[in-house]
Amino acid sequence: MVAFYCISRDVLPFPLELPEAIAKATTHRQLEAISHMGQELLFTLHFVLIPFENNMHPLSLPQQLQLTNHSASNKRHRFKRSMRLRLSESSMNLSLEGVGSYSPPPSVEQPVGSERLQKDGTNPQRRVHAGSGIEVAALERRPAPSLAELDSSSSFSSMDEDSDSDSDPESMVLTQRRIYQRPPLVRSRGRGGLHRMSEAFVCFFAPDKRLTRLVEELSRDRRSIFGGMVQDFLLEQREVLKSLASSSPRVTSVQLLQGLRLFLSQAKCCLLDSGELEPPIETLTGVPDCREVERVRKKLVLMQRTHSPIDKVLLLLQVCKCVHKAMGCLHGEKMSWDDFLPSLSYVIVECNRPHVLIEVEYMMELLETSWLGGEGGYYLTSVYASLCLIQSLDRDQPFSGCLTAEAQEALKEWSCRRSREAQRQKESQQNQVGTKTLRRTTERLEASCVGLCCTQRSPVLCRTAGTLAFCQVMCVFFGHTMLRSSDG
Amino acid sequence: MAAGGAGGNSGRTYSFKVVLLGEGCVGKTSLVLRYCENKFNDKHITTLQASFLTKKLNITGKRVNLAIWDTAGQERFHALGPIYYRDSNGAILVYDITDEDSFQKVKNWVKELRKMLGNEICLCIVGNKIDLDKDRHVSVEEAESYSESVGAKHYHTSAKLNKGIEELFLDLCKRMMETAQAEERLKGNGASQSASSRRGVQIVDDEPQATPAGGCCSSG
Repeated sequence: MVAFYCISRDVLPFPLELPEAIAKATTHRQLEAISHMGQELLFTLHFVLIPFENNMHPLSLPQQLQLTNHSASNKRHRFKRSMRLRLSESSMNLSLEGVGSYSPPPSVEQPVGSERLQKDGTNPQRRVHAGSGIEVAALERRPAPSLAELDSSSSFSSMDEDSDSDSDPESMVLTQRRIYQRPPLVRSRGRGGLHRMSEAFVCFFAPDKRLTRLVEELSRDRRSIFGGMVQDFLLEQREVLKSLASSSPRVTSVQLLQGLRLFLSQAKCCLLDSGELEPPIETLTGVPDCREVERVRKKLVLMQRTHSPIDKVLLLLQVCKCVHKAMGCLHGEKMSWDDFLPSLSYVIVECNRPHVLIEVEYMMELLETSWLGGEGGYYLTSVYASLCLIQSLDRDQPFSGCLTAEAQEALKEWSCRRSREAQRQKESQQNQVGTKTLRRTTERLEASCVGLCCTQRSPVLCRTAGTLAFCQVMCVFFGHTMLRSSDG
Repeated sequence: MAAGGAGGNSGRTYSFKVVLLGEGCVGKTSLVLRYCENKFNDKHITTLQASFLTKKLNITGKRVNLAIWDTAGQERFHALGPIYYRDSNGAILVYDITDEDSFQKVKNWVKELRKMLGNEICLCIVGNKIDLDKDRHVSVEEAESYSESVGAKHYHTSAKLNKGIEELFLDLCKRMMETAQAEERLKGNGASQSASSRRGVQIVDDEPQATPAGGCCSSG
């Protein structure tokens, strides 16, 4: 058998995985164990590889496989990659562990109660693909889809659920590895990581699917009340199915289905009552998904590069528009301001660009006051409010304390300062025979000046070309002002 | 210390900031959308216009630009209020006539606004959803007497039926204009600088009614 796999390595399009597993088998016992795995192992490997090939991930298959040779830990932040990597690694290591401790090929006819088999029960796909126990698997499949019913918006059938899983290689591989090969201890240690990973990739799906996935995951975790319930039910069903297949069934098919229906209802209640389901925020409210967040993040990066406060505030408006749009799309109906602020805060946190604080300060101080009263000012205020909210959360304070005395004082001071400034400006303008166009021009010029002033970040530029332009603009600006002053 | 401008311009434009306050679900957003866009329950509001709305009016020959700032209604965002209502010329405090609690929230807002912004801000207390009058939980008398006691005006509206909204905003604008003119007069007399300079949004041009125009030009 081992020899066969060695040869098939060259024949198969995915040679790396297989030899890796076998190569790690250093003792005769392990090799023998692998040979005992037989077809099981072959299918397992297919199972890992084929979905990779089909998926949309930008990494090519060879790259993915190559990755499996390296350490995963240093790349964990690139979660997609790392996820795959760790899966592959664990698949190899753990498959060996599994092999070593469990030589005979597992089958459905194994005694119920073995940890391994019981885990198998939750993984119907593997059974189906492995080409054994199809009949049982088909029935075993049922409880899992029932969980999808809990999903707020969808009413997936069992087949939908399965095809859904098929289309998602990560989760499938994940499922398989966790259930099939991992001994309980390893599994529990790996749980945190897996949880994180799942959370990470969960972002790629629509909220309803995310929730489905969370429920799926929970159902596999025997330590949870819900998971325990599901697992117990699966065990029980297996027994029932066996008897159904025999000549004198204890139950009729209708009874079986009724039992199933009852379980679905109970499981649903359990899930809702137990509080074990802690879906991430994006599954609950209509907040933008990670694509939207990425779009916003890019705009924030761009904002950092611009100098004119007007350009910055225009980008800020685009950011807010992104949030609005994302919310609108998800809800498909009227959304109120009540939803906007939480969404905006969420996006700002997700973007993780602390410089936004300084950007807001910059705009608040430098924007021409007429802008502060307009839409730009409104959304600038909203971002400011969001930041207050976020900062208050940092301090572990309840929402009620989100505007500290200092913050209020600062705000008041700022407001007075800018208002006085506006007043002065207005007065000076009123004393000049300024047409609207001229006034607008000067506003724009002022903004440009401010922008140029702030090229201080690159002093060289400022001292050379920047200074020149700056001087020119200032001259024009002051020229206008002086001209009009003299008129007055 | 100039207040008015040169007499050359034909009219004047007021720019007012109005903040919308009230508990969630009392219909603040619906109210303002109805007013500004004559929409109710529009399903496609995905533009930025949803929370910040503007309206141009012409009242007795005077141009008025209204900027209406919607706010988050939930109690947990209450503390963010000052960020939004700073520099407001007017506040519309909305409650749901079927929800006694939302009326209590309005009372809290009134207290806060009076404390923070004094008497210069024009307050409107608005009982919304009069189409649901059969479920009314806030009595007309109570609401009106309370409003009077705090120097606010009371209105009844229905965003759904488009009732009372035009009147509300028109009235508010007139009051804000009066306040602004009174301030102008004060300033013209050289009395209060701080009161008016606190405001970010104010009269843009020219010709206050009772202010001698000559007094300001010299100060340029």
